[in-house]
Amino acid sequence: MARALLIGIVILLFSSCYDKGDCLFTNSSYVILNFKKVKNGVVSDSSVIFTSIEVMNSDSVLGGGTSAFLALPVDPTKTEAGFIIHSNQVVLRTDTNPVTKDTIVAESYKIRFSYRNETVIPTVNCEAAIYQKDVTIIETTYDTARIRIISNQLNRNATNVQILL
Amino acid sequence: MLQMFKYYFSILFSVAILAVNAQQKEAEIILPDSLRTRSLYIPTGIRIGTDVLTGIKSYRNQTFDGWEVNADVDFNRYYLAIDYGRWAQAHNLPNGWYDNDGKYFRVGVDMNVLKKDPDRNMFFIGLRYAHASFSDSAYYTYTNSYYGDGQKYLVNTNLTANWAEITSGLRVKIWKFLWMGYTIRLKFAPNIHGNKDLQSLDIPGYGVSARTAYWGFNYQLFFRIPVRKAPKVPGAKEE
Repeated sequence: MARALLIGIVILLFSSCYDKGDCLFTNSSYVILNFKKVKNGVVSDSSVIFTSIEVMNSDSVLGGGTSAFLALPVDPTKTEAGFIIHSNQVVLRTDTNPVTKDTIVAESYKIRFSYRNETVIPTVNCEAAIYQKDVTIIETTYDTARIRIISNQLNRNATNVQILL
Repeated sequence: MLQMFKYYFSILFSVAILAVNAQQKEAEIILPDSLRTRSLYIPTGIRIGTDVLTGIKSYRNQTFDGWEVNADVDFNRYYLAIDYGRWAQAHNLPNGWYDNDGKYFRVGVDMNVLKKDPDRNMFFIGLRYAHASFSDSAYYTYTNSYYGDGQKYLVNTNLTANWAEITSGLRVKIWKFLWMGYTIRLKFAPNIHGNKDLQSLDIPGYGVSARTAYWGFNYQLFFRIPVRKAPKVPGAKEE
């Protein structure tokens, strides 16, 4: 017992002298979506052709591109963010007729998040920074069985939502 | 954190049990007479004092305002110690400011290691439970690459925090009823309740909340009010 007490006090003494790395911020103000596909039982990233992304309740439209990842900005003055994602899906031809071509199908999906803005000041010499936490999907037209939250806090280089196409 | 808190409290309980055992043994060995033993544990005086360093810090530092009063009462070589204080601090941040204001108290037991000092001077080790009630606020500007720059003002009211402390220090009689001493504190396991959108930077009486263990130091002046004649300390040398 006395030895355990002594070890506990020594650990406390050392930890009290240890100062955490100052001003290390990992926050991000983007929800990262990662699109996946399953082929032959293997899950892998799936590139999506985005034509545009509408930011709901605003006039803003984000540009398109092709990627398996999509970064959606959130407003630190609000606690909800909604987007309409316009994309093209290539449907591969199923026959061997050389005249037949792959078809492109335009799709639109709605997704709306809620989150909490938390202000963090790591130490007295650091800036105050906003972290978006408790991210949840409150509305979506994606198949709910194929969409899931991976991380509910917005951090740099961290995927928040995974969507299985 | 909860697990850590439980662990430390189990240590505190173990120490308390050991102390009680030691107390019983001492009573049995030194004073078999139950009446005399009981009389040894009746308080002989109350010491009331203040932390001089907090006063100086409050006077010299324009961003800090506070005071602290300390009191203890003896039960033979054990002392019930109570501290009460105020702490208001402002911090300038690179992109704004943060301030807090609150009261705190600590309650615990000190054990005098010096058994035979005729003046009952103390070198002690002790334990404390501490609790703070406070409010805080922050104002700052931020940048956002998509929605643009902005500013925030956040306020937390009715916050509470608690933590534990291991203490050690000295109490020395310097003249008649006047005593001085110091207390070194190892504060640990802070918990804050009531935070909303602003994580508290600083807990009154504790310090930076992000640190799970923290040092504290008090230099104190006491006035001792005797309430009865102290019994002769067993084994003490005559003056």
